[in-house]
Parts: sequence; structure tokens; C-alpha cells
Amino acid sequence: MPDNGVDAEVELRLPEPFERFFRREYPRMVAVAYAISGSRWAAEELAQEACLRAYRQWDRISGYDKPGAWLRRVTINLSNSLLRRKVSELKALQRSAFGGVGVIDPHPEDEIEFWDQVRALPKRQREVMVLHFVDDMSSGEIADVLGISESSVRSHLQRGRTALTQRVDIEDWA
Amino acid sequence: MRHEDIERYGVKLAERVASQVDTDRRLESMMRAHRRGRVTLALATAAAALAIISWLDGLLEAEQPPVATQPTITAPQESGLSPLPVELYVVLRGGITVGDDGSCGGADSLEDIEEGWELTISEEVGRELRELMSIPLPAGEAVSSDDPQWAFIPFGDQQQACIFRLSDPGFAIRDYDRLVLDPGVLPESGVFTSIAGQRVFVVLDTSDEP
Repeated sequence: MPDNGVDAEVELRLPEPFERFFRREYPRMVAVAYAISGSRWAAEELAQEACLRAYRQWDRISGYDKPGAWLRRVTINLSNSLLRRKVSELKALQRSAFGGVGVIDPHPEDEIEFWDQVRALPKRQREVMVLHFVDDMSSGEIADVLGISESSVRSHLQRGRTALTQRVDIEDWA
Repeated sequence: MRHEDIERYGVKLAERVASQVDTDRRLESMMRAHRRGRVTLALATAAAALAIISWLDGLLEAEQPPVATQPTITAPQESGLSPLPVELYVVLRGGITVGDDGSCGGADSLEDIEEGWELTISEEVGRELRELMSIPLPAGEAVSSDDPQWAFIPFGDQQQACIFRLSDPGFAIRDYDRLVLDPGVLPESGVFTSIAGQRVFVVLDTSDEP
């Protein structure tokens, strides 16, 4: 009879099949991309592009301790790039794959100001806030994704929270 | 607003997205994109590097008239090192957000960069550059705006590329053949070099992936 403890240990070391990884991570990456880029038209494309890059190198990336951290880093970088691009490129993107219709519903009216303010935060604060509040990551997990110390993460979180509570003038939660 | 409201906004967005995305359709779409995209990606990377080099050189020529009196670069002497008035440009393709090959930390906007910046060249890129030139590049260590030898060049579109210049008339080129840009022998490391006049461009293609 096999030793269950040993079997479990061996199983943990096996690379995760990409499809399972994709199904778990993709919706979360869409949310992260949407929060950072602000484009409901592009969020799915950004998440797909990040997953595609992971897939192309899955032999290597699946061997990492935390392939999800790699995926988040790529998603964030792609989303930041889009955020920086010109309005004309965004408009072209809207026209291209989606026929001008976003896949995800737009932010409800009461949330628009909030997410605009999140995107107006300094880049690192924005990334930390989105990973914590949208992707539900701990300070340690965020530190792994962004390659910064856990104390830096906590500091960015604190400053981001304070900035948002001061800037967003919403009295009642809808 | 209260701190707990921030959390509720995040949860609400995550739930809304999770309920609306079609993961199965996306998986199929991604596989199709994978089958189509292999060759295009490699070509696009090389083409982008060439375009940036051409664009940057054009801008420099436009802003600074060519120095016609300077000698053209000739092959190195027997010593293997030939001091020349060379300027090295490090171009971070993709702007200020870069990955492991180089990082521009502590900057959240262009204004921040102009006030102060920090650039780190990885060991791998530094080794490659040292093989090409006698540049005292502090690989693995950060250089910053505090170092008067390095300058951030605030022209062009910083969203496409972030450019730093290290100039020192004492640099020497070790390997002329490798410095001349030849699309057929581009290294795979993401470092592209070109020489135009006395300028050497190094493009680090590290904008999106860690």
C-alpha cells in the first residue's frame, strides 16, 4: 500500500496542467486588467495575451514555485502599457475585435469615480491596491508578484487606502 | 468613504467579471491565437527594435547636426581596443515599466523620472556589453540621476521607449563585427546593438514580461 504522504508530496511537485491553471486564473486576470487599464473592451484581450505568453513557455513557467505570480506581473505590465497609450489606440481597439461593444458590463455609475481614482494613484500603489482588493491577495503574495518587500506592500496599501478615502466622495455604499 | 468600502468595490468587480467572462470560449480563442502567432511575435520584436533605433537616430540627427569632421569608425588596432568618442544609449522599449533585464524604479510618471531615476542593468546584459565594449557598466548595481555620466533624454514618446545616455570619450569598442547591426545575427537575449556614427544603441526588450 502506498504511503499517502509520499504520494501527495510527489503529486505536489508535478506541473499543473495549463488548462486547469487557465480556468482558475483567467477570470481573475480579466478583473485585474479591467481595474488597472479601465478598458472593458481590452480587459479580456490583455488577460488572454498574458495567458498566451504563459502557455507558450508553459514547460518553463509551470516549473516555477508560483506561476500565478508571473502571470499577474505580465497582466499588470500589459495593463499599465495600455493605460499609458493614446486615446486613439484605445478607440481603434474598441473598433477591432469587439465591434465597439465591451464584453464586460461597464462600471455602474456609482463605481466610475472610485475606479478613476484608483487609476489616478501612483503606479505601485495602484498595482498593490488592485491585487489586494480585486485579486484578494495577501501582502506576502503581492510582494512576490511585484518583487518588492512585504513592508513596502503594506506601506503602499496604507497610502492607497488613505488617498482613496480622502479623494472619493461617496457617502453611502450602493 | 470608509476603508471597508474599498474592499467591497474590489469584491464587486471581481464577482461581476467572473460571472460574465466565457472561459471556455477564451481558451479556444487563445489556442487559435497560439497557432497563428508564433512567427509574428518574433518578427515583431526584431522589427520594433529596428524601428526604435532608426527613430532614435533620426531624432538625434535632427536635434544635433551630424559632426562631419569626426572620423568614421575604423577597425581596432592590434591592442584590440580603440578609444573613440562613443555615446551609449540604453533604450528601454516599452517605456518606464521594465522587467528583470533592467528596472527603472521609483518613478510613477515622466515628471518623477526627470526629477530622479534609477536604472539597473542585469548581469547578463552587462556581460554582453562588456564583451562588446570597454564600458564600465555597473551590471547588477543601480545607476541613477545622481551620476553625472548618465542622462535621461526626455524626447520622443516616453510611453514607447525610455532612453538613457552614458557618454564618455574614453570608451573603446572591442568587437566591431558584433556591433554592426545585422538582422540576421540579432542575439536572442533581447539586447540589440547598432552603431550609427559614434552612437551605440542598446535596446532592452523587457517591457511586459518579468
